Amino acid sequence: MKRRIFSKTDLILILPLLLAALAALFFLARPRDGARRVVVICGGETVLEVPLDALTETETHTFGGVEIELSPDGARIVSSPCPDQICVRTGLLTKIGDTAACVPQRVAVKIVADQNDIDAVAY
Amino acid sequence: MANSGRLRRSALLAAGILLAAGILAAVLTDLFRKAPQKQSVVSFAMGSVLSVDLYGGADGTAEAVKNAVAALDNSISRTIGNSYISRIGKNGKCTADGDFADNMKALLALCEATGGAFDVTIGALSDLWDVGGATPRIPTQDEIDAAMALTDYRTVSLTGFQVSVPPGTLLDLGAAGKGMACDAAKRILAADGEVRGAVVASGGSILCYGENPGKKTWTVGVRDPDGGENDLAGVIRCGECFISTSGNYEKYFELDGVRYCHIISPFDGRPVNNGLKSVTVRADGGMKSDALSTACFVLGEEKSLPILQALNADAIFIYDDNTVFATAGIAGDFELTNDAYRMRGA
Amino acid sequence: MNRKTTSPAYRVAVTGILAAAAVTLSFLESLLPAMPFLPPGAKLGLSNVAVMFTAVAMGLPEMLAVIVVKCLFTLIVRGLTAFFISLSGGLLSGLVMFALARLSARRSADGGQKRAAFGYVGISAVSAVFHNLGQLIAASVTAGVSLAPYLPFLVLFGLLFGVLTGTVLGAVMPALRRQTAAFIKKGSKDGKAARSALPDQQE
Repeated sequence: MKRRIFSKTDLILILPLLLAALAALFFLARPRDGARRVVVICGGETVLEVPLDALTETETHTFGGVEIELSPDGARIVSSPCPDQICVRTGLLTKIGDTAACVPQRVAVKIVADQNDIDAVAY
Repeated sequence: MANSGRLRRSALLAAGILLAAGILAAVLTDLFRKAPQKQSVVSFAMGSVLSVDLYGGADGTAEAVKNAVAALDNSISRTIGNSYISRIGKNGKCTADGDFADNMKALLALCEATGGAFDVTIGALSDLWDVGGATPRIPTQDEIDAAMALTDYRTVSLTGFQVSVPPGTLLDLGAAGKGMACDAAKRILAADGEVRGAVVASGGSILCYGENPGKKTWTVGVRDPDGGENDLAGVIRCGECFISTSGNYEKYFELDGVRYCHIISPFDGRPVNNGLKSVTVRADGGMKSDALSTACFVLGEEKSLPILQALNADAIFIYDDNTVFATAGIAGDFELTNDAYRMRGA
Repeated sequence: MNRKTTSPAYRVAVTGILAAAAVTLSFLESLLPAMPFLPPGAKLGLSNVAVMFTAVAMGLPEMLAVIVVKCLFTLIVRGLTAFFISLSGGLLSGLVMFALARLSARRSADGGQKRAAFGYVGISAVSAVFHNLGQLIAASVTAGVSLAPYLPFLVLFGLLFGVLTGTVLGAVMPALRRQTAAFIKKGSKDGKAARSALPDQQE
């Protein structure tokens, strides 16, 4: 076959992906107000969920070898035994949607919107 | 012709690729909605809904809770003809069993601790006003006086398994029954070592047991007295505890702009009308929280405080003017979620 | 490449060389300092130049072999988790790459050779996106949590780096063609260079 470095038809492939990614970014970047809660997932199971408002001071927890620091400002992974340290380099998570994950250790931390899961209603 | 065909094929391919990418991304996000294993059983008991949510626990525990509550209902209900309460109502006395006697002892102790604001002999007055029944009406003062003469917990005689009351006095445990159901539920749950956590709701009386998996606390909503079933005034975040609410919105009738609710004061024989819309009590026992919520509603905030303190319980008072007061022990755990209300002093 | 006119030995040998090239490119890329603003998993993808060449110059089995060898290198250097993730991305992008490369548009004006539907840039960009997607899915499964929030960034960087590597391949293609022609002469069963055995002729 004869092939160009770049054909016009390439745009049919690239443009939709580009637009979709930009649209997704635009929608996800809208700041979501409201109470935030920190969720820590280890080995696929949620092991800790704390509303940020419930934190009065900084606390540290360790799950799966990964050290996580929770503070009224947000959460961050402090240390991890993994080789790449991507999780630690992610830094402080503050906005709803912010996520840090240590894939080899199967630990993830994210900030989600705090919906009051009501367990029961007294009336 | 071949050109447009190929071009269309390329476009189709591009669309296909985009779709595939989209599906994969959607799969990614959906793949990870996991909630802890929860068993939920809902049934009907004591005239309202009994719901049991269990995390962990052996098979059959939820069923056992249901049965325990039904057994309790059979012994204390006024509508089940053969219950001890009904028999006492018919015959003035009855020989019950150990459980019933223990319950009566505890109930009478609560009557005394609340100075009679919670009174198990409230039956005559309840029947007189019949709020929520078929024929609610405003009784005459004579009728009220007559009923009040029959209302006094101190006239209940409890000897061994024998319970007796003076003629005309009627026992009505409605103000504490649902809380007692929560106590029964807790006994069952405690006997099953595998229950990690559970929430039992008997009508509006709640039992929070164990730990809420993955979360720091349980979240119990406090109903907005002016709202519907799903409207809240606020939430309580708590560990293991019992929570009950008494309010003027559950059963009532209105006449000439005055609301007559189903909670009758043993002191003046009339439905409570003291500026409170509801009182929510958190305590370490179900019977206690239920009886106390009624007592505090009758007594009002000021007189309730020493009693709450003595019994190691806390309460949230919601007033007609939409101000809310929470006692010190629960203020930190209670959060208003409804703009219409405000904490007193805030 | 025409399976009928090339010997198995030729195919294995060339595949081996291409696999080695992929591994070398991968290694060289790992020497580059990590840029902090890059989301996890966004790599330059230099080794894809070799993979894509295999896709157009040889066949599906050969391309898959190169991908697997490249991933085995990852297994040795970075461990089992990284291998799983790498393989996931590599296979997904490889399959997409091969499918796209196979598509042809109309015959060129002179009625001679068929014309490829897509250029190097397009194929490379899309397969880079799918590489990242495959890796993201594998990472999510391993970590037990959805890493979907990273997706838009990975798509954008995939497109960007894919365009880059595609351009690189397009630029070196004439040189690679010349090199391959020499091999083909040695590898063809009847000793004659078959024109159709040469990979993409640049327009």
